[in-house]
Amino acid sequence: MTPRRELLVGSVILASGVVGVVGTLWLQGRGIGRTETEVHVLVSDVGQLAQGNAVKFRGVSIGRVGPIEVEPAGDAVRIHLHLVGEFLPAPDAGVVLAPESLFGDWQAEIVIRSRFPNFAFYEVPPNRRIQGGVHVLGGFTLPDLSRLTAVADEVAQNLAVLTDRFDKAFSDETAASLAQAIDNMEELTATLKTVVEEESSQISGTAERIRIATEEIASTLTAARSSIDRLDAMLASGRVDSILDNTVAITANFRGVSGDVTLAVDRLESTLTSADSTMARLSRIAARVEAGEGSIGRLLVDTTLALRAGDLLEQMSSLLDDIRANPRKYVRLSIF
Amino acid sequence: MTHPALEPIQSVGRAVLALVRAVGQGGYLAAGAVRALRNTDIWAPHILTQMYQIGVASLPIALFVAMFTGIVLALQASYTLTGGVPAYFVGTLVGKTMILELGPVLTGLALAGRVGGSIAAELGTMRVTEQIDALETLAYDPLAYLVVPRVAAGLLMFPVVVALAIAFGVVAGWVTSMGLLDMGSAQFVKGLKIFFDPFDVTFAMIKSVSFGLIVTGVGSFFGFHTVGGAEGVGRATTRAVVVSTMLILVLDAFWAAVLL
Repeated sequence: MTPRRELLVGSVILASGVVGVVGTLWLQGRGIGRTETEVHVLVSDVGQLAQGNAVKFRGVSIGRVGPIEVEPAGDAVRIHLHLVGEFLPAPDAGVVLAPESLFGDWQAEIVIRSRFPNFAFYEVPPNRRIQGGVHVLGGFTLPDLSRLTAVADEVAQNLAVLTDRFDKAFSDETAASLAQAIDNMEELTATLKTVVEEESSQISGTAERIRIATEEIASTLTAARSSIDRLDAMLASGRVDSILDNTVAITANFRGVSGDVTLAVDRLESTLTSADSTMARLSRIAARVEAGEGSIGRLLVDTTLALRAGDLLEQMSSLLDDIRANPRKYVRLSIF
Repeated sequence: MTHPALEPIQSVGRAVLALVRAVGQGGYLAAGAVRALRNTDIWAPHILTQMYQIGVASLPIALFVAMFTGIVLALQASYTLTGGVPAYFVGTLVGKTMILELGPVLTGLALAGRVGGSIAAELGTMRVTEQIDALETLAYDPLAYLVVPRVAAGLLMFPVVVALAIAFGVVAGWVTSMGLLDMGSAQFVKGLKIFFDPFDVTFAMIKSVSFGLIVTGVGSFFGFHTVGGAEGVGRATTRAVVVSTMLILVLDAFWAAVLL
């Protein structure tokens, strides 16, 4: 055995060892001489996730799934995630286990739990969220494709049952009824056609009226548009400013008038006070008149007095008429 | 002289007896080899030579086979995986197939011809030229001198050769995917990694060790029991290669059934 052959044998053995170890580590996704962060995930079920599957964060592959083991209590499964570099999970971070493609490869994606309110993430007790310096996150596993397929199969079966029932329900009798219904529909259609033809003239008149109304509306709109144009022009020419100035002056006048009104109201209050006292006095006089006191009271109470007064007035009236007719009879003018 | 009607029954009996004799001889040889392990001063100086012959000298043929296997695998995977199947599955198929099956088995078959035939021819020649008898006459344990170094070297070097062959085959498939197929390196690596399980490597190593034992053991057995001169040597060599090949395939199925 020559030294050269010994060297060759040793080189081949070492080369194969290096290829085996380095290749295995590389295929496992483990870096040699680079920092790694380990994060644990607790889930109730891992689906089809397997060691070596990708770990993603915001869609970027950041590591590999490590060993998967059932917790000693049997209530959960613990997944070891080997992440490349330093990684500090957010306080409300969780992990969603889901198929990466339709071909059986799964992935573990680190997500913010609040983004998925409908996912029932495994609740890690607060005292277990950091164990031995390793962060423990709660996970949620999406249904496996086989489960979805099972549901689809169930739906397909229900559909088959429905089709079968439909086949049974659609008998000759049903077909005859359907044919009868179609005949009735034809009759109904013919009737409707007649009605429509009859009503078409009325509809034409209505359409004409609508046309006229539309034209009127159009002219109104034109007028409105011209008004708006004028308003625009007015706004542009500054006439509004003068109107506003006038409004200010009118407001000032109103303010003055309001002061006068206030004064008048004050005066009116004193007048009303005087009126109240006058009315009180009138009430007292009226009471005395009703009681028959004074001349007016006696006149009202004593009816003969009133009649005699009436006679007197008639006599005075005839006397005045006589004086107008014969003034010389009653008036004599003499000078010296 | 047997009656012609009884000839078939006689043939069955003869075959069973031959099988029992072979098993007995094989057991005797195996037991003698295990006993010979204690004679380290006899076999130890020769093991490195056998490691070179069985391992290093076999590398070119093993790597050649692995390289073309990787190339063909990539091309056929690309041809087969059409439609909605992602391209990265070419990497998956090449990696899985090379590690689990074709790497160990094709290397084992190639070495069955080269190593097993060589051992059977060498020992057979020594047997028919009475060199082995001479060793026994000199009280030199022929099993320790001839069988143990070969079998031990086979057990040690087969995993080495298989590991390098697998790596070479995967790299060949990778290069083919990038060069001949419209595929990026990242896609191939993704497919290679996505379904990788470290147990795959363990499985391949277990198989390769068992194939090493079979190839060297069967070669030693037929060589050690060669009779009939030069013709017997040729017959022993042929039998060694045929039986090794068959046993490799049987063991391949056995390990797949037991370990996977």
